[in-house]
Order: sequence, then C-alpha cells, then structure tokens
Amino acid sequence: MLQLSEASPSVKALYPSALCLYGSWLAETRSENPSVIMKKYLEKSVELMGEVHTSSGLSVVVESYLTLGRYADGQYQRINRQMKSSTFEAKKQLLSKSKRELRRLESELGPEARSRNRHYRTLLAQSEEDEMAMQSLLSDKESFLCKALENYIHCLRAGVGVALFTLYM
Amino acid sequence: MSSLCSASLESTYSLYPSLTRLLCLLEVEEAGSLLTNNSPTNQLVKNWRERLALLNSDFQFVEPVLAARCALLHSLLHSAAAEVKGQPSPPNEIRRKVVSLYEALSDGLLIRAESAREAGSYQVCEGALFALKRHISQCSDYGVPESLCPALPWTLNLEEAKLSWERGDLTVAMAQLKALLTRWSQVRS
Repeated sequence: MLQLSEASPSVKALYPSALCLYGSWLAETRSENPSVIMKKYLEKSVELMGEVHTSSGLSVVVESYLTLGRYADGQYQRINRQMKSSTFEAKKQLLSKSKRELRRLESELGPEARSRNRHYRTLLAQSEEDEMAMQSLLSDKESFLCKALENYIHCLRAGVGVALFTLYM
Repeated sequence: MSSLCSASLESTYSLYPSLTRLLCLLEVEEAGSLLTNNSPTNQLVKNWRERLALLNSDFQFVEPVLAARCALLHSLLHSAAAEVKGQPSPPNEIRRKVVSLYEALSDGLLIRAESAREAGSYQVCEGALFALKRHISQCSDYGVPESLCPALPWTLNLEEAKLSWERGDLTVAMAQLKALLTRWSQVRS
C-alpha cells in the first residue's frame, strides 16, 4: 500500500499531476462543465500540490498552477467575448426595456392590481431572472480573472521554467 | 573514428551518428567498470542522468543511447541478482546493488518511454512500457520487495494513458486516466 506521508515529492505529485492532466483533457474535449473541471480537477490538483514543496523544483508543481491559470484565463476571455457580442448587447437592451415597462406599470397600477396583473408578474419574474444571470456572469468573470492572476503569480514565484503568458483585460 | 576524422565541419549534424555510437561505447565501458572495479552504482546512474540533461538533440540520436543504457542495466541487474541467488546469505552490499540497479532500470525505461512519446515515436514508447510492465512483474525474481517502488505501476498506467492520448485515442486515454484516478482516490482514502 502506498504510504503517502513517507513518500518522496515526486511520488506525492503523481496523483495531483494526473488530476491536472485529466482536467486539461476534459477542457480540450469540452466533455464537462467548466465549474466541474475547475473545482473537481484543476483546483483540487493545485490544492494537493501544496503538500509537495515547491522548493523540490518539480516542473509538475508549476504545471498545475499554469494549467489552472490558463484555464481560468480562457474562461475569462470567453465571458469577455460574450459580453462584447451583439447578442449580449441585445439582451441588455431588452432588460432595460423590460425595466422601463415595469416602472411604467408600477406607476399606473396600485399594489393590489399589480399582484393580479399577469403581464406585470411575468415581466417582473423574467427581468429578475435576467438580472441575476447578468450579475452571475459578471461575478464569474471577476472570479476567473482573480483565479488566473493568482495562479500566474504562483508560477512566477515558483520560477521554474515559466512560460510567457499575457492577460488581455 | 575514421568517419569522425574524415567528416566535414561545415555541418556538425553529419557528426551526430558517429558521436552517438561513441557515446554508446563510452557507456558500455562505464557499465563494465561496475563489474570489474565494483564502483558504486549510484555514481554511474547520477553521471548518466546528468549527461542526459545535456543531450539536447533529435530523438533519433538520443534513442540508441537510451536503448543501450536499458540493455546494460538489464544485464547488470541480471548478473547481480544471479550473484545474490548463488549465495546462501548474500552480503547487504550486493542486495543494495540489486535494489539500486532495479531502480535505475525502472527510471531508464520510463525516461525512454517518455522521450519516445514526446518525439512521436509511439512504437518505441510502447516497447519501453511493455518492458517496464515485465520488469515490474519480475521484481520478486530479483529479490526486490514490491514496497520499494510502490508508485511504479501507477506511473506506468499514467504513461499508457498519455501514449493513448498522443496517438489520438482520446476516449481510451480518458477512460484509462479516469480509472487510474478512481483507484488512486480509493487508495488515498
């Protein structure tokens, strides 16, 4: 049986590097949800690599940080592109229009009438949902940016065979 | 040597095949000194590892050196193991030599497999992994405990998955790696 506590750094690094590799394969084949890839494989790999001393100079340690950083960077770029697209712009305009319509209905209808008005209720539910989706997208974008920067900094600190990377903001 | 003497220096690339053969001969000589002078195995392995780091060349020139090393280590291991079996109570020094050679050959086969895979030489990689599989199964024949290299079978499986991926068998590679991760997480828990 593998006694991990007594194992050398290169042995301890085997499981996390396998996790990192599988995560990168899932990302390449788009076989899994991005949040599952991040949490179950890439972040877990980085967390377990923390048990392996970076001073051991193992390139697999830096590889984990770099893979997670690049994946988060890729997701950040994807959300950025999505938010600059015409479809998203149209969605934003639609949301503004719904909000204006809601304000108009609120000014015309009393509180009791609003709860009876189906159009108002549907519009309210839909715009709340759209608003939440938009906020969630913004918060995902922030979180991916932080994750990418954090891991790129880890790579720089480890300083072993660091590849060049750029972050377009 | 005559091919080296008569080679044109306009391009050093033409010297590489002769230099590769010369390096193989040098390593045969170094391995021989292990038998005749009883020099330490660790020093030989360390020298070879350091030399490999400097061999920044095409795989076609590195492969013969790696193949020669694996063959030499296999012969040395075989003769050391035979020496252990031939004695009723072999000294610890010889036992340590067997263990050291076993580890060195495992490393040598892994390096050969990895280099071949990275160079796109998938048949050589497959051959090296097959040899490694056989080497692992023969550890008890050499009198080497399985607990010595507990991670070796896992490393072998990982390399097999990587080879499948490089070959384009993406589904197979992912299934192999997923199975390995499942087994590993069960061991860890």
